[in-house]
Amino acid sequence: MYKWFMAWRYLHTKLIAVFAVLAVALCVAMVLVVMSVMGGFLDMIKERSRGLLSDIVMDAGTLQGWPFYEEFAQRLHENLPDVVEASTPVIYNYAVFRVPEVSYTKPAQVVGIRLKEYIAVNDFGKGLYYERYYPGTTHLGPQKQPLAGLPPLPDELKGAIRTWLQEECAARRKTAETYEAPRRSAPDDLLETIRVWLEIEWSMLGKLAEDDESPDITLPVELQDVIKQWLRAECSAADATKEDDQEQTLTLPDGLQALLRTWLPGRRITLPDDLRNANIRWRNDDNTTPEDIAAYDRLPFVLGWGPGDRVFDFTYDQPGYDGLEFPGVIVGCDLIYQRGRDGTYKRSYPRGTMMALTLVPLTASGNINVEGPVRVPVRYADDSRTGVYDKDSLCVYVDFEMLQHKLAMDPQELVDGRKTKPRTTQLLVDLQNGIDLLAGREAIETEWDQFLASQPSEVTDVEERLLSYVEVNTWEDLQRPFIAAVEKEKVLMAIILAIICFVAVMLIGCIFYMIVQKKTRDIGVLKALGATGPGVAGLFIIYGASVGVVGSVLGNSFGALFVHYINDFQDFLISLDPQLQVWNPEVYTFDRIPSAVKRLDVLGISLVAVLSSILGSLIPAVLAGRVWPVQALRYE
Amino acid sequence: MNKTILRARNLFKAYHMGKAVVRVLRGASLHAERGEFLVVMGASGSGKSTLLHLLGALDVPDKGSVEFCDRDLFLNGAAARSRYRNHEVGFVFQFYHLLPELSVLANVALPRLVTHGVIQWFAARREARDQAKAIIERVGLTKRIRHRPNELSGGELQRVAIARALINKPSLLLADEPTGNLDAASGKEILELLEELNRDGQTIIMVTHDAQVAARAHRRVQLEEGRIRTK
Ligand SMILES: Nc1ncnc2c1ncn2[C@@H]1O[C@H](COP(=O)(O)OP(=O)(O)OP(=O)(O)O)[C@@H](O)[C@H]1O
Ligand SMILES: [Mg+2]
Repeated sequence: MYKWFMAWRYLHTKLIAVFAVLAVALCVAMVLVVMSVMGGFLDMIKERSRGLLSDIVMDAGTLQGWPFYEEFAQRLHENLPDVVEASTPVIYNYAVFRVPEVSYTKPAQVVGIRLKEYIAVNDFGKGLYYERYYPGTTHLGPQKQPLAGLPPLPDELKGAIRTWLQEECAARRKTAETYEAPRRSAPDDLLETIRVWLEIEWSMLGKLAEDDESPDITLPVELQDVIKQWLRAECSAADATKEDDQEQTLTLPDGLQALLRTWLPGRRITLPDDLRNANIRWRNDDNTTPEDIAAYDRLPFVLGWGPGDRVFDFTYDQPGYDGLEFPGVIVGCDLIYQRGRDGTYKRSYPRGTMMALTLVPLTASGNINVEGPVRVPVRYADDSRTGVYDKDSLCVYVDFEMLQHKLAMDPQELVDGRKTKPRTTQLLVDLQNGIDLLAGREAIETEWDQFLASQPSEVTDVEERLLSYVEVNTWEDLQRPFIAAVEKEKVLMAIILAIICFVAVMLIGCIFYMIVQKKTRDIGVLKALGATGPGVAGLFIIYGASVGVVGSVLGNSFGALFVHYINDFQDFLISLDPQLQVWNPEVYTFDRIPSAVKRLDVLGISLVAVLSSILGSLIPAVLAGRVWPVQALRYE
Repeated sequence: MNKTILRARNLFKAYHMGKAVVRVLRGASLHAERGEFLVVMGASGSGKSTLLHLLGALDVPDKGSVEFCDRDLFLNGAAARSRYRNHEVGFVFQFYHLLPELSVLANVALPRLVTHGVIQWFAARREARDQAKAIIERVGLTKRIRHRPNELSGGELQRVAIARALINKPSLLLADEPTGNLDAASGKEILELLEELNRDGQTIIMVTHDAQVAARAHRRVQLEEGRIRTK
């Protein structure tokens, strides 16, 4: 019993034990934090990868794709109705992506999808920006430039402005004492200029709505000049002497101001019905809720913020579509936008912006098609954020049939009049719920082998070769290199952690050696009182284990707390100095530091910590057991 | 029952310090009767402590034997000697050797903690505590029961050490100059305590070089040149 008793005593009376406990706690906390973050990262990667692909991916293994995918898909649905839920073909190829208007180019992976089917087999739909706020508006078919419209000024306001201008005019004449009724009312183009100013300056940017203090509505100098010019021209006929009000400012009369103040906040931009607010970029971030947009539907629109100016045109009274029809494109978010520090994007291209893809069509045998590279103009329909940086900075998505045609993967007429089979690079297969991934793969593989065996004779040599390249993979198979890389990193981490453990063992060894040295006399006393050598050694091992247990509890608590607040902690660091940002979302794919404290990790780490502590105390414990009582007791 | 409780025969003990050899005991023989108060005298450095350590099985002789109740201590293993130290012997040192982390009560109860395993302890702890308290009362330190050793005087410390030596009701109390480090008054108190214990039947072997102290014993022996001479 004295072992436990003395170990307990030493644990809470010896200051040096605190150091040992702290050393263990620190190591434990460090290991837990690292493991939680790495584990969280790996989990997130796996989850995202799953969301990107479908359960089963049948890949061509080549760039030119494989034929007979339609026949095989049909066969799958017929023969394996219990296994296969849905399937969709996808074409992968490479393209030069270009935004002509701003001369911006990027290398891109062009993905041909049937949007509706594609969304059904994976999580792609969840990452679409406009689709999220305006469901049903994103499509890849031919589309025009959507335009917002602005209704004309109401007659009442027009009248008031005209009256004001006439009064200004009349006032000028009065000073020259040649009063005369105005001959003409203000011309429409002047009114239009005033209207544009009103829309831009006050209504559109929401100044009146947001500013409670209702500042004076003052005319900008340029507009004043335009009005003065008109006034001068108008007055000069009657009074040529009065031409020197250049310095005088032109102000709106109170009556007109009051009228504007009641009228402007209610002003609305109107949009094409089917698109509703789809062109409106409100706060430019992913946190905008549909409620936000509904509340501010008149507010945000693109004006002078960059290439998006075209979306709104003052010459349009009514909302609508304009321009030529081009196929839609969904662009990976990071391909065209910079992610802000806070993880949001400034979407500077409005919907409908013209973009272009330059493709290199290949023949079935992989040669460049006689026509050479083709340029495909497309319209920006939406952007996609899957959360995997590799994808989001590379992929553009277009319609499957369109891409197939442009890449000459659709049926081509041969010299002898026969037609080639259409090709795809992938067939994504979604399994029924509850079907095991590997079992599903097996079933499809068997089906594929049978399909190959029963091929009709019309298959050409090239086609047969292409078919032989086809691989049936699960999503896990395809992500393996990536997951393996992270897992390899985990092994590396484990080695570093082993070193940390070793350091902890050494540290505890040193500390315990010191304790044993200092306590030699006490050990002698214990032995004189009848304690055996193994007993005393046991005491120090129990002591070591207790240090390990207390250290683990402290370390795990601290580690878990740190992991829980890790993002807040980083925010705090960034608030001190942006340079202190540890987690770069562009490098690590996710905005936030992913982390998950797992019970098994905690258990494992604690076990290792206790074992390390025992290991560290082993040599000092043996030494303590060997203390010769007489030697220890001889002198004070 | 045998009257002779301890018999040491022909003990040899030498210390090797590098090449030099210090032959401390050269054929020392000694016996102690049950209930006796035996004093071993000798000049400083004559080997008294060495002898006492052998008697208490804290050390092993080069030659010779120590028989406790006719059983040779050094024929059995280390575990048996640990048992002997715990059950049969109470040791009182010149420098007290109390554990500084423990209170008086815990120090006194310590041999009992050594005796019992964890499970046994829970059965025996109430009794052990009562016994410890009784012994502390006997040495007159009830008021100091919660104090730490560094809060006590030399005389008090030695009384705690005696209490600790007595907790397991040993057959033999070995005291190595228990008064050597104390002033005259405290020394006298300790001696009176030992005499009182002896009167109650406790066998005591005490080592001293002080003739006045030795005068109180039943029997005195002299350690000279590594051998015991009876006076
Ligand atoms: N561990 C040891 N190593 C070397 N020499 C030792 C050792 N222990 C004792 N000696 C020597 O043995 C001799 C006897 O020592 P011991 O302590 O037994 O004498 P003592 O009679 O108790 O003396 P004192 O009255 O001073 O306590 C001394 O000369 C001492 O130096
Ligand atoms: Mg001595």
